[in-house]
Amino acid sequence: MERIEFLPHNLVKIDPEEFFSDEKKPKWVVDSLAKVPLVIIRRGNVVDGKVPVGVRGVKREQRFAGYIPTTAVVSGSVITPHALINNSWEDLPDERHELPAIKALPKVAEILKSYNWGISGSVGFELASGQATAKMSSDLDLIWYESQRLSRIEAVDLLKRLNQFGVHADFQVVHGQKGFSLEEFANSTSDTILIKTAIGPELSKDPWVEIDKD
Amino acid sequence: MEKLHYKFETKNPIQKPVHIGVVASGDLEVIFRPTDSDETVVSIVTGSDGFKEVWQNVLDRFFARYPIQANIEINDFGSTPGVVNLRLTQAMEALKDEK
Repeated sequence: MERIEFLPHNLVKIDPEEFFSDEKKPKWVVDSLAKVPLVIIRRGNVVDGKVPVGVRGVKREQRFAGYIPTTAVVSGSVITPHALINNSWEDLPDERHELPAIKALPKVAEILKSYNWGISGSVGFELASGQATAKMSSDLDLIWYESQRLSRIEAVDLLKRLNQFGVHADFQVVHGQKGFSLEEFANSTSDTILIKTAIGPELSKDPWVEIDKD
Repeated sequence: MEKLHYKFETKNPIQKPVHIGVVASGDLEVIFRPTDSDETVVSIVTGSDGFKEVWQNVLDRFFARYPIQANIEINDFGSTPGVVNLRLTQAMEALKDEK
């Protein structure tokens, strides 16, 4: 069975010594993990006890993909994007609330109060780690779990409401390993929508049906 | 951030612009525009540095299969080659739909 903590966008605490990659680890990766040993689960299956994870640095382009043995994940350390929605931003220092992506959170939370949602991306990482990761120009990456099918008009309307706070809100519909962009569904000029899955991206004519298939 | 430019000798001019994909982490947007030039110019802006050769390979394969003549703009936000290929496939489908 798939372990729930190893779903994409979740954050886990690790033993930094055990993090490895096919490529040479840049110095910033070693330094970041020494400071904050928190990694993001990447989309993909756990193979031979190795979990695909990503490391984030303080700069925007500092992202690095690698793996961590399941045994090097600190037990009970998982932080889901959903766990970050309950006013976790109130703990951030005042000056961080000047960032549009963080400033928008209370208003976005009000709009999404009846949804099963979560916060990912640089803002999610900052809320989970306390480390200043979001930038003035950062998007607000949001996740919608257990979604209900929306019409295109409803999707356009929801995105319009989420995007009225001076920051681009990216809303991903996520079920288990699968995910698609609500913005793509709302605005698509193509017959197909791109769905990300554990074994790579695919195109679907009906993402709401596809996302629930095993 | 890196800006990459590629040129390809192509022969099938496109007639209408196409815009595919989204501005989001792990994704990209692809814009095909008709061109007066007799070659295809691809301009890429990417947040992930150091993938010049990976892009070259993806584009080489694409234009070997679809030698379309166009002005192509790609804004990449850390997408994988798999996502790039599907976005280009969608753009080709959208071109066909318009004929």
